[in-house]
Amino acid sequence: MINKIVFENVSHSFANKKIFENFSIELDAGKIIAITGANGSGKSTFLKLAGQFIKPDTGKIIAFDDGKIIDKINLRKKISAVAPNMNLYSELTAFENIKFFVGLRDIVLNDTDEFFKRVELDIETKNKSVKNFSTGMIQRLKFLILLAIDSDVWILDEPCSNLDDSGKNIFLKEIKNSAQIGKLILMATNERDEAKIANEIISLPIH
Amino acid sequence: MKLSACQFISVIRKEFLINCRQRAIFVSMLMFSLTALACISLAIGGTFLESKLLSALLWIIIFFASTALDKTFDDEAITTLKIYGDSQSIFFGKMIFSLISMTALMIFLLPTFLILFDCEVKSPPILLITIFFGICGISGAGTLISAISATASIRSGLFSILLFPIILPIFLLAIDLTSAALLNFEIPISSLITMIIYDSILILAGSILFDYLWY
Ligand SMILES: Nc1ncnc2c1ncn2[C@@H]1O[C@H](COP(=O)(O)OP(=O)(O)O)[C@@H](O)[C@H]1O
Ligand SMILES: [Mg+2]
Repeated sequence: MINKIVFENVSHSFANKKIFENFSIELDAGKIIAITGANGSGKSTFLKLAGQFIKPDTGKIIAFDDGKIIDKINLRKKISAVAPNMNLYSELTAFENIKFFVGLRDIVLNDTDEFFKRVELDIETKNKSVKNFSTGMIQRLKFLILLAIDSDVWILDEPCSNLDDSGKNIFLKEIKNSAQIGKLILMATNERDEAKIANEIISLPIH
Repeated sequence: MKLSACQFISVIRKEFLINCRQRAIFVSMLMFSLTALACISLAIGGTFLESKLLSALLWIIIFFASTALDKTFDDEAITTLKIYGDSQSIFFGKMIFSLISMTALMIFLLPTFLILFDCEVKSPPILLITIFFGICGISGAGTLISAISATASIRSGLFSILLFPIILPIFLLAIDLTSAALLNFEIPISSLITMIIYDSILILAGSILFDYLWY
């Protein structure tokens, strides 16, 4: 399991705008870490840095797997995510989308009904094309894929956006459970309900 | 470099599912080939064409038909794919999808071409081998170029210009070999070997470069 991700003196900027300057922090598994801050404060950038999807200008980001340092390719295999800019294939059905993304992680899943129940997505929608889904349904489907892949690190960028109250409750309950079993959870959020379940809050300043 | 069968098959199955529903790629490949074949054969009627010219015509049609496949990365759910996918299975999955599509096209194109232009093939095995390795090279180069233009931060149509110098050697060799196969001249085996080696280098370099694009 991934134990922690460590930021060491990380600086990062976009077009002369400093988003992080000499930023150091240790992110531990087993708790919910919320990242809060105004729009444009760098929450999504923080998540991308933590998952090593982008490289910081200076400084280091190190991930530990069972106490040993792992490189970004191996870290990537242990991450799953829900983020606004993650698209699904609108031409494919919900089931085909799940089967594809899960297959990319070498998981063969023939019965997905259990997961549809967990995110309370109508089983009837399983064989419907995703282009007919509402934004809330797509959000649930993205979360379903994350649950089905079941990786060590969860990167959640505003996970409850577009969700109704029952959807929010389901997501927050699942997130709490997974932190309890030792997953590393990073959640960028501006919603009070989401921040409330966090064990640790990193609040980013306005630049 | 490790390639997992499950991932690889997932990618190919997804490509086929989407493209069989959208059909845009298949239709434009077929339309181009049909138009080109019809225009040329109607215009030149029963005139005798030299085998070099015939081979060049055939490969021009194959090349332009293949450009329909250059868009394979354009409609990708690229962020999600980068989070869950491994570079190699995606590169090879997409490449094999291109290769299968091109093979399907050739099953239609080649007999039609040979009949319309009244070609007699003196050495069918050489012709088939040449076509196979030719479309391998085209698929490899096409997948790489389309991946570069989709994942690079600079989005620019200029990338497809890169395709030209990369693919030119394959064409020259393929045209040479095709015309030899039609005429049963002495088959330039060295050209065939060069083409296979060039393909291998191209695909290997593409797979390595793709890792840099992906991570
Ligand atoms: N790829 C990028 N290129 C240029 N600027 C970027 C890029 N990504 C983010 N930014 C800038 O960095 C700042 C932080 O963005 P982001 O991390 O998305 O904020 P948040 O998620 O907190 O709303 C914003 O001002 C944004 O314009
Ligand atoms: Mg954001």
